[in-house]
Amino acid sequence: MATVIFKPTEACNSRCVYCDVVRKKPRAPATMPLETLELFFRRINEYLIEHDRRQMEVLWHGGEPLLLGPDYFRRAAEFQNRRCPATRGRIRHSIQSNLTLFSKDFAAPLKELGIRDIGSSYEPIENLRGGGPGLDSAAYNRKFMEALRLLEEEGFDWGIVYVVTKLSLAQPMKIFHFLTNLSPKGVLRFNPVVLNGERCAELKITPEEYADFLGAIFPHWWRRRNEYPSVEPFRSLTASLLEGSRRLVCNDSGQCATNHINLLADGSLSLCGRAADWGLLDSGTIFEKSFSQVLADPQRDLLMRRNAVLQETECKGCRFWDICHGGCPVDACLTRGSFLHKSQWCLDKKEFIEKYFEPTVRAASVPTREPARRAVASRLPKEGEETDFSAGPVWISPIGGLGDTLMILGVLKQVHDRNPSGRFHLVARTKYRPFFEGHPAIAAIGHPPPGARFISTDYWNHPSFRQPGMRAYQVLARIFGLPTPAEERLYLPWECPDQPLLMKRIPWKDRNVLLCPGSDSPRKRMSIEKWESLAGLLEKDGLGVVQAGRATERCVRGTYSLLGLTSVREMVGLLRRFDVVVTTDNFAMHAAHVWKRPAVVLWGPTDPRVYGYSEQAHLQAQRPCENAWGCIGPAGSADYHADCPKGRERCMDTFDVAAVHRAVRELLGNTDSLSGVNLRS
Amino acid sequence: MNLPIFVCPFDPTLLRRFTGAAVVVRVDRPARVADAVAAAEDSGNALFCVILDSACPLDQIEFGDDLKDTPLAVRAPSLGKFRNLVRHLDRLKRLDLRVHLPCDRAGNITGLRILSSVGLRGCAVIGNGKTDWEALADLMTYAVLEPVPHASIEPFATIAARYDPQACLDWGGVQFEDPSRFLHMDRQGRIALSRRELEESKFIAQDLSELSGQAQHPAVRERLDAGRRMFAENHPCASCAGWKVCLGKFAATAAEDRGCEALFAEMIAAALQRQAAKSCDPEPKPWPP
Repeated sequence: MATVIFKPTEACNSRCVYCDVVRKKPRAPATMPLETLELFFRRINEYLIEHDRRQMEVLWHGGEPLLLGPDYFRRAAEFQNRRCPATRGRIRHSIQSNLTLFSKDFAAPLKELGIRDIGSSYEPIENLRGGGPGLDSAAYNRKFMEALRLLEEEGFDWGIVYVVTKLSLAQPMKIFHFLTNLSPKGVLRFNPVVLNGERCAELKITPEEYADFLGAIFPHWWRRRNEYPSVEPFRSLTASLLEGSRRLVCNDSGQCATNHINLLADGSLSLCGRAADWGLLDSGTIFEKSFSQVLADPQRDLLMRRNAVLQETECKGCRFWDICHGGCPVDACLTRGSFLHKSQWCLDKKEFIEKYFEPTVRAASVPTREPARRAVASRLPKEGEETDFSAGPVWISPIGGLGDTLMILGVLKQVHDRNPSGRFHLVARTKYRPFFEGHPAIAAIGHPPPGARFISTDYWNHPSFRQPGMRAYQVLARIFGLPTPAEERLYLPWECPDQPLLMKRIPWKDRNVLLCPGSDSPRKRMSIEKWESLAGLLEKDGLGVVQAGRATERCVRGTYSLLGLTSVREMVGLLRRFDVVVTTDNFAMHAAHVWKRPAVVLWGPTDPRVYGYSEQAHLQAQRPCENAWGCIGPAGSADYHADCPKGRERCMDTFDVAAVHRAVRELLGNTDSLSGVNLRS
Repeated sequence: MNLPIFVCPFDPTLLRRFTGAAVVVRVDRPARVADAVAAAEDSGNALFCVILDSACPLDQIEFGDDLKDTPLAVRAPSLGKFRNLVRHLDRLKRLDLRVHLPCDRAGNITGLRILSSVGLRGCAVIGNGKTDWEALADLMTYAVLEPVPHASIEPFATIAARYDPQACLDWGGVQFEDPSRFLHMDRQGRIALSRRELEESKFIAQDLSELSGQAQHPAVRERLDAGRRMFAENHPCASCAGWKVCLGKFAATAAEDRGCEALFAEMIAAALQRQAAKSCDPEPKPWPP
């Protein structure tokens, strides 16, 4: 798509302190005459006929385009209808306005041009934006808010560009909340203030400061990105770095020469608004040149050559080339005197990604020209190398299931036994707190400051986890710098007294079996009907059959249900009172190992050689899928929360209930009843 | 205009002055509830619910079995003694009842939790006086995330169910304090935007006739726009993490006490957590099981 940045006026009713437009000597005419406007649509038509598969975006910009008045937009729509009868379906209009002049009179003509979403900008900090020489931001703000109400009444969406200045740096979250509280349906974009020369030196920021500003917001955005989906540059960086998208803004695309044109009120043409502001890449006027001719302007060859030059010089080997391309060439020219340099704002991107993005997001997904996993590995101690606490606290960012957490507790105990003075900080997360509180290796639980050092517990992303036969516990041991093979000892940093109310409530029989069918992964669950068949067989044997798990799990009929009635700590304690536990690869499987209680474990997509314990009876289902590791084994964690696509052929439903029943009976035959131990009274 | 719901005192003469509206009728003792229902029906208005403004604690209110089909909001100063209340529990559970307790009183936050745990719906009346925001946050967590079946507690249940990250949510309606839905009327038929303004005689109209013919009364629109004014004035509430589910309701005290920010920011997190859980798992068992 070709884009025309269309500036039919450079007049503005605001006096934003950092804006160049209002300080320039006005061109003549200040507003594009209607004859030129009509010519503009003729040129668009001409271009779209020459390129019959292309579209053209017209970005109404300024100055303040609403100063043109509603009639101007009405005339534009008329010209479009008249001059582009066959091509108007391929013209997309958008507009950037400060909105303070918006009235209901604009609604119909803007809609006629197909505009449903208006880009705007706002500044909560006083006296940076406003009308008149005194920058009356109070009046400006009132008009802006009134305009938002009108926009919503008229069915327009709107977005906001926020310009980050020195004054913003002290309050990034406050500004973020302010702007998101306005509930823009369009994009909220944070741009750095770009000031060349000595003007407004008190507002200037460095790329590092801009990166820190973004970095203060990013972890919050990342956690809640479904809530704030359209915040830039976070959304596009996430799409580029994690999803492989290559939809880049003009600054980063390396392609602006092929698709961007700037058109001013006097008909003059150039590359973009900033190039025009600084008199760069002048391409003549609309009166003598078609858009195809402008895009073929030989001056633009230099910009295309820039891509090749930078890859061999300043950007050589940069792993972010594909998403940056050296940044804005106009920036480079203004600060370095030539287009054949990278922009100084490259630094902010690199700094932001490396300092904030990667530690927050799973680094494994970041594209890199280095071998994969480098970013992860560089943060971790090497095998056998103790964690270095001398440079400040090391934070554990716990992720994974509750069973994984029991393994981490064991690994940490061993780490602490080797080095009692070294204690970790734990990132506060509701799910994990009850496990770690009281652990001798944990000094504090809280929220890490920017720049904190992390160890992440995502062992499934560790390169060694792909080695055949590598056990999860051993990978965790490596992550925490223990020599491997390490003894696999789970550890509970809390006492487990029996809960009298719970113990009295359960209708104990001589021998009792605990069923734990739940799992966070639907792929690891066996069908409820099979569990009910098993419960029926066990009940016929005269066994007490109890089900435990979360309140949201499905109840297995025929069992005594404790669903939702136990905390995780109570569940661990309770489990030791059963003669046999029947479970899938879940928290209960690990918890049974804590007490060495006999367990029958049903394995489907995961592997007992990786997670299981030797005293347990493991039943492995036949996997119908091709992945030898199992669909959610190493390299398959992305599917963990998704249900199995095999439907009724899913591996977990291939179990023969009679075989499971036999396994329970065998374990019971080897186990003394606990009923005589009087633990349950 | 679309008529809002009128919250008016029990006065058959007042109710007969208009017809075809939805009304909430306020009474001061349970014996009058049935009369209020009858008066609303006789006047040709639709009864939305009856508010019982009780001076005595919940345990001392005598409810008759004849109230079981009447939507009833009880505003009581406290729960009273649980040992007394427990004797009436079966009867209370048969009613279509929600108990509103002011959260400036020690014990009422616990009281709401107790009511919820025994299956009685409650509503925390927040902001009238000193508020223990941390205790409220605990109550909110219980209301929204506790998996053990319990009755709903407002406004948390409404926020958790209706929170949309892309929009702001005004939950004032659960306490009849949302001028786009509820207007308050006195015995003379004068209309105010809120109960407090009614008590302070700050009326927006002297009569119902002053409301007709307008898409939205200017005072109502101005009140609904009050939030945007806080942005224009750069009020601290505008940059609060909990704004979207608070809308500056506690702006008067927010300067000295930012406890409301912690509560509503946590409320948003809890709402998202619950919505995420509901999208993955089946509904928890309803109450009573």
